[in-house]
Amino acid sequence: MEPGKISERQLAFLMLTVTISTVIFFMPQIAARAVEQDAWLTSVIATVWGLIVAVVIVALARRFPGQTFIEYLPSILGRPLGKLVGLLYAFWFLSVGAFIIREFGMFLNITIMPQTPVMVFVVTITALAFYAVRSGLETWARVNEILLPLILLGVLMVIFLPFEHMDLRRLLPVGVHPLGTMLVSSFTSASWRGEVLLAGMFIPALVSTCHTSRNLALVVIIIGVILAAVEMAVVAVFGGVDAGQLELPVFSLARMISLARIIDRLEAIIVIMWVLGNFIKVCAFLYCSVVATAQVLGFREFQFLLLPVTVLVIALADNVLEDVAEFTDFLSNVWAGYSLLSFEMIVPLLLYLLVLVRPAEKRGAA
Amino acid sequence: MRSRKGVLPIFFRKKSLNQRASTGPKQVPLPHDYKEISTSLKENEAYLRQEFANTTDIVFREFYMGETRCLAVWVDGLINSRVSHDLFRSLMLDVPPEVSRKIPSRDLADYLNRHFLPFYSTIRVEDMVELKRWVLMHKMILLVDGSPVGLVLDAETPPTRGMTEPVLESVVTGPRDSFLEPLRINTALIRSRLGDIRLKSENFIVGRRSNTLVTLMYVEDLANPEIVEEARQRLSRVDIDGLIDSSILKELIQDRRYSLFPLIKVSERPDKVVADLLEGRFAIVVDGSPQVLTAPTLFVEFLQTAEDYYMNPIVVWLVRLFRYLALFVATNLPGLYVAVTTFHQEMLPIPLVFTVAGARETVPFPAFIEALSILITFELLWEAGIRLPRIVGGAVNIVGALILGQAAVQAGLVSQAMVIVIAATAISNFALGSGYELASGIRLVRLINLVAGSVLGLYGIALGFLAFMVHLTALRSFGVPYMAPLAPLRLREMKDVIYRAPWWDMTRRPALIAGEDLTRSKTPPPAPPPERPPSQSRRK
Repeated sequence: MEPGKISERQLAFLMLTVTISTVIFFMPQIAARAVEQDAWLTSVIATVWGLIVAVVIVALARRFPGQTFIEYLPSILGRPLGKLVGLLYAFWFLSVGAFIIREFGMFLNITIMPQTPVMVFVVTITALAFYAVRSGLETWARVNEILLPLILLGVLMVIFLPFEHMDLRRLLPVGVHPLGTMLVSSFTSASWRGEVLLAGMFIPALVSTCHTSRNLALVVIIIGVILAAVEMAVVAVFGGVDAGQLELPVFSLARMISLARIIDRLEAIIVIMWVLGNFIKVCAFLYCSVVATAQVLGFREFQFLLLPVTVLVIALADNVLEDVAEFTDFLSNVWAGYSLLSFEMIVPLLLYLLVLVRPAEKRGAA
Repeated sequence: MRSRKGVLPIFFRKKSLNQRASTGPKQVPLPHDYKEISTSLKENEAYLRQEFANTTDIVFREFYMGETRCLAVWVDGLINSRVSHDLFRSLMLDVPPEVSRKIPSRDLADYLNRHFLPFYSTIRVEDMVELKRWVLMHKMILLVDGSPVGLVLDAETPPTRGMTEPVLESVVTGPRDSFLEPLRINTALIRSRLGDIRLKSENFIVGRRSNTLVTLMYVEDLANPEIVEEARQRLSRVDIDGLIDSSILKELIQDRRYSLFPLIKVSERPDKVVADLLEGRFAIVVDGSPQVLTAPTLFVEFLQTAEDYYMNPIVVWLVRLFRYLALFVATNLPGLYVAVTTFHQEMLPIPLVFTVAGARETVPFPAFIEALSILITFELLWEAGIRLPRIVGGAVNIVGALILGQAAVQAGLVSQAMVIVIAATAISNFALGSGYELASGIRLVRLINLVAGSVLGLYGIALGFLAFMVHLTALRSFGVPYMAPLAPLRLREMKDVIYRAPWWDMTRRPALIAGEDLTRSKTPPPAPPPERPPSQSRRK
């Protein structure tokens, strides 16, 4: 179905950008509110959940080479149920895409352009993503190869440059919060990590798949390290309690940066990172929802569905999540249940168990 | 059949192909009707005179060699008069009279060809229509009464100018010759630098009416055969009435209908073309054009100059960093300035805010209009500077610098800060390296970014950047991704992108472009000789 081919490095880069571009902005606050100075520990625990998703999705892809996640659902669950679950996944991609676009617009609205309506951001970024996805997977996967180093550079600057405000004693004592709270918080954290599920849609387009599972595991771990570092930096600067109160701790962190009054006020960097990263993220979810829709409905092409799905995403994005408060509430209370604990980890895990349990039956049928 | 238009007919007529291969340049006329050359010179002459009726610049020179009547035809001005003089002297004075008696008149032309034509290249033709065409391709033709054969004599001296230094790609160190209009001179300039037997050249004739000779050159085992075949296909697909310059061909054979960025490189420097050939690219030389095309092209090449390879690599690294900075400034600075001053004043350090605001105090227009008007003025000055005759060029400078710059600021119509911004942009625009085309193409990028920055601020700039990134990465040049080796990322080939590795370290050719042989250099890195004991002579 996908005419283009991407390399394994491009896939790994894609997954890195997709995850990192939003998680580092929201997770520090959510984690700090739940477990204060132990925020970074939740990121470490979440890596385990992320690894499960990565391993399962690659193992499934190994069983069904050349097929996307949506394509092999019917072979595991049977045709009617498989199609139904596929449809749910298509909707999941679509709805998460809409959430991302909405949060993208809201972020820009509250940080740098308070007078511009959110819809302006929503429409422009989706239109750009439409253009990119229409240019082909190869193209925007390559664009990402240029963007990711820029984003990582920005992240590193935000982590290390506010060093004069840091007080590492604010990270102590370590691990005083009950394990249950940490686990719950780690589920939220891992919901972003679980977005490596999207790899299930890209694996058939890979040139080779020898290192896919290693790469995806590395991606999950790298994200864990970066996120933990960001959370540590946030807590070290603001303290565990205050970090939970801030609306966007990373943005405040960037505001603190002032090096000899030369490098000053790096909000611009945050904004650029946010736009670049989210562009790729929107592309990825738009692409996945279009391809998933086409495959559930049994089309061989997906280009013609791109425009309707784009319009649908914009319409959805206009209707979800009224304001920032609702959005934060969604992220800390609903998001984990909607993604990690259903679509991202539990369902793939169940599918994999089914495949393991029924191999003999399948071989007999074949 | 249509696609191989220029090539097919010679396969039908094997004989003439063989002879051509042994004597003259392998040139292939367009397909045409076939008309045998008659043994009667009168008949042939009547045909030619009828075909060339009403053309005063075609010379028909009739003469006798002994008793045999001969006819030479050529385009006046395109034939070296000394050579033609030699021809007539040799045939009219030096040929012993018994020749025309001894040799049967059927074979006379061939006999003359072998013994009496002091030309370095002759072609034997049996087709009248082809013969006629050779006249138009700057050759002299000779017909002998009684022989059903025409001789094509290569005595071409195309009108040309003297060699000058490169105009657009000037350097401080390195070779200073540049291509000229005649194709032969250009291929000779290339061949003289690259004496490899595997440097191949293939001829094409493009242009239904202009019959322009086009030569495709490549090094056989360095170029990727698929890319060369693609180039051949695209060249033979061209069907146009006249090919006046290589830039026209470039538009006809590039990968995309529209692209703001050059997908085929144009160069006037032989050393650059040879370097490209050695990297496995192919070159296309068009007769009548002092600029040679090379492809596949990468975006990063337009930020390199020939001199990068002759200078100290450490300096080059610094210079290239400045070029990337220049690219950023040239595309983004006006947009960024307007975005920051109108949307994000809080991002500026406070003293700077006061300076900018103070400068803008008297300006009656919004920053966007201010930026746009100066930018347009700059574009007009640029255009006028190119087109104006040199004599009046000074006037433009005075008007531009004094009236538009100083007077506008003093009158308070534009702020000094804005003039500085546009000046920095204009300078950066020409500090990009060798790509004049890139320099003229990014003007549009700059305007779009200016509009985006004034409508959506910093977000607009980021959007513009992303849109151009998508456009650039989607481009291909003869199948090679345009943004390589940045995207797709190839760390091995980054040795000539942001910095240039010293020559002893440039061991490999770019794998995306070159074919089989990827080894460029095996030179061991320079090292001091092992320490020797102080020499005996010194001790004494």
